[in-house]
Amino acid sequence: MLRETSEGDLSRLLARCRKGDGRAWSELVDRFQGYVYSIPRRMGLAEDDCADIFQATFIALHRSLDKIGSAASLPKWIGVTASREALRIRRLRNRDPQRETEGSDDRGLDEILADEEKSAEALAIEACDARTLRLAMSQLGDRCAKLLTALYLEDESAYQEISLRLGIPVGAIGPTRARCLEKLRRSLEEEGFFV
Amino acid sequence: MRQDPKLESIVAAAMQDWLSEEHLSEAPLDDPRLAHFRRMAASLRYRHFDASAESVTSAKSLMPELERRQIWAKLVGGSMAMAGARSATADSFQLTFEANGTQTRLMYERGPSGWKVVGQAPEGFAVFLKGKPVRLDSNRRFTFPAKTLGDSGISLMDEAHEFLIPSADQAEFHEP
Repeated sequence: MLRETSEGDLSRLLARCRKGDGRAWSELVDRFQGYVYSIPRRMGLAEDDCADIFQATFIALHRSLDKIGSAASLPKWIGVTASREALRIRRLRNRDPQRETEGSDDRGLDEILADEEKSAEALAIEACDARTLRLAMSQLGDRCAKLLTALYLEDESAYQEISLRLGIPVGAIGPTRARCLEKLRRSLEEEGFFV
Repeated sequence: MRQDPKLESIVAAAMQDWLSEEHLSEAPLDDPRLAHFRRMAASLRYRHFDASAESVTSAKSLMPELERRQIWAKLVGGSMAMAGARSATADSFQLTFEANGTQTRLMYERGPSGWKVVGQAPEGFAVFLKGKPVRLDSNRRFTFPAKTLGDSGISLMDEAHEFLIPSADQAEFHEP
């Protein structure tokens, strides 16, 4: 079960981090590094800004370990934190001194921050969904995990190359994909992903 | 999984890619699974980026690893006393190790491609095999494959200790 193997494990990891276990912290950083970094990169922010947002997110997490309610809320907490920081940086980078002087932006700062908060939630949900799906994929049978990874998580490969690499006839890729996606869908449905 | 003739067309309607062309016109748009597949399609297409090694190292340095007290665990009980006999004759056996007052029992089962090792981590401990973490279930039980008994050594860590459990082909009995 996704929850038992993955999130139960995350709960123990969080408990160890709270005790100051540096090895557990390293493991946590390894688990979430791509998750955190992908949020600002997907927004098109410059690499330097993405690196700053990455550090700011883990600094905030390090400071807040005791305040996070449960391991189940950890991915969303991290996602919202990274998204907030990314939206803040994007707002600062997009600031146009000319427009500010002329006062043509009608929104007050409160409204801008409220909109950013909604966007941060939405971005975090998107990131969480993708993470949950990747975790569920890793627990499919070998054949399905390899096919879906080749089709969607790797740089684009021609279907002949996928066919040769995985030993699946080209004509069978479509039906196999459908069966694998249905298997994945059922696993996600059991976990409450679609609720 | 039973054959579902509509499945491929529902997936095609959700994924809308080069594998879908032939099935798009047949898609049953009222099937409840379509919304699920569309949500999965968005997540599958979520492009993932890895942070640089420098960024990761810098984040990890926020909580440096502690110097742990390393203790070799002693073999204090089990169903097969002679180390040499374990790989030669047994199909399964169990060994009990003790370190710093903490006991751990491991079960070893021979299979077609090597051995399966099963155990339960003591409360508060993580399990590592060749430096990599071994996943625990909700009861702290773990299992891992070992090609030979020589590959079965593990370590158990909490924040202050590292108990080194020798491989089953090396462990010799100590009186507790």
